[in-house]
Amino acid sequence: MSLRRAAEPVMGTVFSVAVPEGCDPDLFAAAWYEACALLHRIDEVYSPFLPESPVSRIRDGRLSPGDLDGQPDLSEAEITEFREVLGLCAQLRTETRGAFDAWAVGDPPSFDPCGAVKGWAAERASRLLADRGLPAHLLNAGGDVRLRTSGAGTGWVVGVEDPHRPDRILLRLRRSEGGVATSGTRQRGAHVWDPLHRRPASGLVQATVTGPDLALADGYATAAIAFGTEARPFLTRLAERHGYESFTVDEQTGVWWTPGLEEYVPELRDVRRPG
Amino acid sequence: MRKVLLALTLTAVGLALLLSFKSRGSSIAALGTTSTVQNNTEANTSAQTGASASPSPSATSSAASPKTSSSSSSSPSSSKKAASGTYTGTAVDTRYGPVQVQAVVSDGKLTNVNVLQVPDNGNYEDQIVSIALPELKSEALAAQSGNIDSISGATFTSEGYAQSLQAALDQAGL
Repeated sequence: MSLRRAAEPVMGTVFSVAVPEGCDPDLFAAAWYEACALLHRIDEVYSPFLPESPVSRIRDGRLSPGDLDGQPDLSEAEITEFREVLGLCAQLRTETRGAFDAWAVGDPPSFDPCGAVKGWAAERASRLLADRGLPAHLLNAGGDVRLRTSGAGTGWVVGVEDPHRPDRILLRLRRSEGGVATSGTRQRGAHVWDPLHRRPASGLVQATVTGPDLALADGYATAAIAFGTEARPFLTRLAERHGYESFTVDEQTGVWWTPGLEEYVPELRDVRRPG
Repeated sequence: MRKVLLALTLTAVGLALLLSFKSRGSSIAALGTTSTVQNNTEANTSAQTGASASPSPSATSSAASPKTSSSSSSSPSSSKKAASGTYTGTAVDTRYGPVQVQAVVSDGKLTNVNVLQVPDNGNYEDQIVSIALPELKSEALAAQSGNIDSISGATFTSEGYAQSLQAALDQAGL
């Protein structure tokens, strides 16, 4: 199957899309244009780097998350979405027991929902693409991937990068629906903050989480990096309770994955799973 | 045992370095070397694998030939939009030193990745052997031979994107 692709720099990274080549090129161009406009608008609202963005105003105390109504630069729908993002951040903070905490990023701790917004934005954009006539597509948000198929398709193959060698792929993960998110310390240095110990996270070099929702998968992967060497119980619980499977690479003892990941990476069944 | 694995890793990189300067067909042949490393139980049981890994081009080419023929036979049926070719990234400085990669794309799919430039640092290879379990490392090499639609990895910046495998894929689709 050949693919039609496009890419757009946004949110400090690059989003790229792929659809089966049989898809109508005009339909594809129009849907992607609209998705890019949505992503740029989300960046305007949530960027902590734009001094007048709502998130920047919350960070420096000019705006309370409880007073979103009546903000002239937010539409009704965007206010609803903003609350959705706040809810997502709260859910992630609870489920990760504070390892992912959008309200305690950096030192001194401040509000920064970036870690949740990228995956959430990809979910939004992917839904829009599906609504605009692209039921089968793959959306890559700077290394986090949202996949959809139209039903009968054979699904997608996502390569998981080897954090120690950027030219290599550690796994081929097959999925037809859902998200594959990877967090790590390689591309931006130690950029995941460990709010529990108030320091940059260390121990895990890379964590990949796959499950139905990319925003949650992304948050869980970031939390796993923050947990560092204590990530395994968290990821095991995540797999058993919520069906999000994971794969980690660490500095000392190598690689580890949840047993359920083998459904998506059948090759792993032939490999002895580290305990 | 560790020495053997180290030798295999180095050999694979060395062969990729040698072969990547040749034609596209040759770089696909580099995959053959990965399949010789693929079954790690063999590597464990026979120490001579490490010694004989580099001078075994005959096994390499025979393993690669069916792959080459299947990909070339499928390409004429697809339209001209399905990109094929070799895409070379610019050398990028990593914490380990300069790395340059080359993506081989067939019908818009990533089929192989060649290392054109690796850090000249012995410690690095040691780290690789200690980082990944040997079984998985072979899986990693084997994984490159398959078709891949997209790459999941730690978030790249818009500047870093140009050097990423995902960029090579996107470029191939344009």
